[in-house]
Amino acid sequence: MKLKNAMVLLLSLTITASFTACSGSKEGSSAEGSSNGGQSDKPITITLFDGTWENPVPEPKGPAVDAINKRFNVDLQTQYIPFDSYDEKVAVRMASGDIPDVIGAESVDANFVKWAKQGAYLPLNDFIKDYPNLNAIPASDWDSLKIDGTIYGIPDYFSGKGGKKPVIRKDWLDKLGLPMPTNYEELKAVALAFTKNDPDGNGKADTLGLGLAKGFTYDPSFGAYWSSSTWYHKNDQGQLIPGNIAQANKEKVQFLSELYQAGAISKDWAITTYKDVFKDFNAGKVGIWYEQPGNSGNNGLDFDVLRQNAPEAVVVPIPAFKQPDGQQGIPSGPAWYRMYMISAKLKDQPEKVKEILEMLNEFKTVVPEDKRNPQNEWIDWLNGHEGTGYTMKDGIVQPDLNQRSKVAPAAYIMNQGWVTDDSDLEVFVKISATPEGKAFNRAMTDYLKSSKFYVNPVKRIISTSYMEKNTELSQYISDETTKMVVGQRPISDWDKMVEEYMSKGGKEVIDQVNDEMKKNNIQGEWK
Amino acid sequence: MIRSNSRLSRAADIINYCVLILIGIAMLFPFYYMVIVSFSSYADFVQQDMLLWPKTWVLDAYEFILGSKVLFRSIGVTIFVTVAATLFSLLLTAMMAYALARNIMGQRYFLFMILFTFVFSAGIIPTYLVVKETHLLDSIWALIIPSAINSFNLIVMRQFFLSIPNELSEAALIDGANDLQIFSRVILPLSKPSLAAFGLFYAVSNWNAYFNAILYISDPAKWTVQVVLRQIVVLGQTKATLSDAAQMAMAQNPPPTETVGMAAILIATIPILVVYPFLQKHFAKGVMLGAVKG
Repeated sequence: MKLKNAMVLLLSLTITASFTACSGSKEGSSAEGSSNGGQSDKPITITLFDGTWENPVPEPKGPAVDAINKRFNVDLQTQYIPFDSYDEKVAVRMASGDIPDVIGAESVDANFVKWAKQGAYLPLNDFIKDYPNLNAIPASDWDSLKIDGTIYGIPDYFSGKGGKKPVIRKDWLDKLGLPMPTNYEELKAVALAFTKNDPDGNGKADTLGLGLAKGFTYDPSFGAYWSSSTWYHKNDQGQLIPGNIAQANKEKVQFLSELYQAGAISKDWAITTYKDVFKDFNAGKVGIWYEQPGNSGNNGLDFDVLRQNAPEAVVVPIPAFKQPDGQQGIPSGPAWYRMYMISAKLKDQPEKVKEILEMLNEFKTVVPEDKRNPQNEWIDWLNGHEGTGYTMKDGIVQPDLNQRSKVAPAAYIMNQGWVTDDSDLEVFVKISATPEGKAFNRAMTDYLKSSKFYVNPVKRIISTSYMEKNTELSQYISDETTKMVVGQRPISDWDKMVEEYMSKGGKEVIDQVNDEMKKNNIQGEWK
Repeated sequence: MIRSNSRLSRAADIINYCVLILIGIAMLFPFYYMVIVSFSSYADFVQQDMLLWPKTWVLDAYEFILGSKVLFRSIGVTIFVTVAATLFSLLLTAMMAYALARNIMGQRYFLFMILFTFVFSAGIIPTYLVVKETHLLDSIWALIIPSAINSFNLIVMRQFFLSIPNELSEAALIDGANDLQIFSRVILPLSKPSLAAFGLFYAVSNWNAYFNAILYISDPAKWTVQVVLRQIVVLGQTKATLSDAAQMAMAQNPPPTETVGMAAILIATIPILVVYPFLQKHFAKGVMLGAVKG
């Protein structure tokens, strides 16, 4: 018995010993972001945590980090998580109190609001005015990330005019002698003709008029009036309501169900992912679908592939339809995507905060499109130097995909400065890889530059109940309207569905959103 | 009578074979598809609903993957974690299970503690805090130590040890063996089947380690293959929830295509494909040995 006890003791000791041995050897690798920040020659340690789309994921050590450290006299300790897994990781980091100096986020979400209200982030209102590139951000864009008037996040520019817009096969229209549709009636005629009249001339009925994907990914709205996610219409009490429960959406669902009956929409659309519709569009089998200015890479329209499948294809945007109230235009959101917050732990280290902001400010330098070449020191540095991080092709910076996330500071720190003249859209025209893509981007850019935009007011306020419930509520409407389109539920059930929406929490969301708008003096406006 | 019977059984055989071949094809087809897509050009892939034979064989996807060493590095990390963690886990689990199978002091207390963690797990954040405070963050050992003992495996293994007749260890004791010798020379050799089974369980869960790697490890150089794979595959076939802004941001640095995703999965599967047949053989043999001796 004694021997056994001794054995137990020995074994437990062995276990403990092996534990300490393993953990002990890694003592040195833990990174603490503490720095007194005062000395001017000693680099300031800055810890940065962010999500990323870069692939491979940028690593904490390498030429790019060295370059940043040297340029700004800092010791940058980075940590990037693929955005796909970012939410879980950031939640754990924040909850454990292990908060980095600079935190990146994709958008204003419930977590951002919660942590800001709990005081995790440093208010930045007083700092911004000292930095010209941050000061250049217009007030309407700050609106969307202010919490009770306080700024916690520094956004990165993304054209508010971007995002997928309806596009059409112009060559099919011409071949069948049809004009560009300007309302839903004409659109229906075009979609039917695209389906029945063999627009690709191969003698087979293998074309679809209108592309439609599961859950209405890419809303078939042809203007702000019909958009499901835009708060355009008002109810009887004068409150703004989301587009998906408005009468205009009912008309849209009616239109879709007629097209579905007529076979101009895929029979399987309710289970087809948007990715598959892109595949069909690229194969030259779909007449009306969505694309944005630029180049969606492999997640969108691929002009190279489309040309191989349909050499004569010409893709152009469908201009917004004239609305019953006389307006005409596209919905838009705030002109930013992704932001940085600074940890509230730095409130006693203004030097460090200034160093960080100085760095972010410099990264937001806007370089005119014609100066983006190796002769521009900033561009060359940002992209990791010609020959190592990028090459020039037709006067365009072409990143080396495998090297970029090691050598290009651009892969580490967001660097989209505020553009006010749509010159960012012109860049897309220039960087188009194919002549067809160039023609499309030209047409799209011209259209976006000349079009009117309705600024979606719900994107300019922060409503917690909207954040919590909108996804679920929109899903409900999307499910029910899907049933209506395929004929499983009569469209006459519309009012019943809206009632259900209200009782599921929609009423509360509408009330709160309207209160917030009133409080911040924001309404839907055309620009 | 006999002839018709044998004809009947031959017919049954044929039907059996047909069904089994069909099932086999259903199992193999995804692999075949993976290979074919990985060698196709993206243009071909987009064009067809179902690709059965590439129009042209291209190596673009493999060139992309071989161009960056990320995938191979992560496979190395995963192999190390799998081997080290499996051995470590087996050692700790066997030692503890054996101790708890003996009639020692505090046996009930320790058993209760183990059962307790079985029912109430600590949750992500407390576990993260423990890992952080033990300075294991950003170390490969964070994937090995915190999950070293699986309480379910421990309890089952203890049951197994309990089933070994006590007389065996008593005989060894009389022959002059001490407890450590009894454990290593008598009990462990008798437990090969259970060690093989639990080794397999541990190896599979370590090979699939994903969430812990994301959570505890910041340095991409130490990421396991599952993390890297997910990055490649998900970017290749972007989730429907991805915002337009995200897509536009990605477009400036185009993500890999589906063909690259397939190639990456294939390369990451090869180690398992190579090892598994041998492992399985050994595993089956271990079970037989145990059965004869036990």
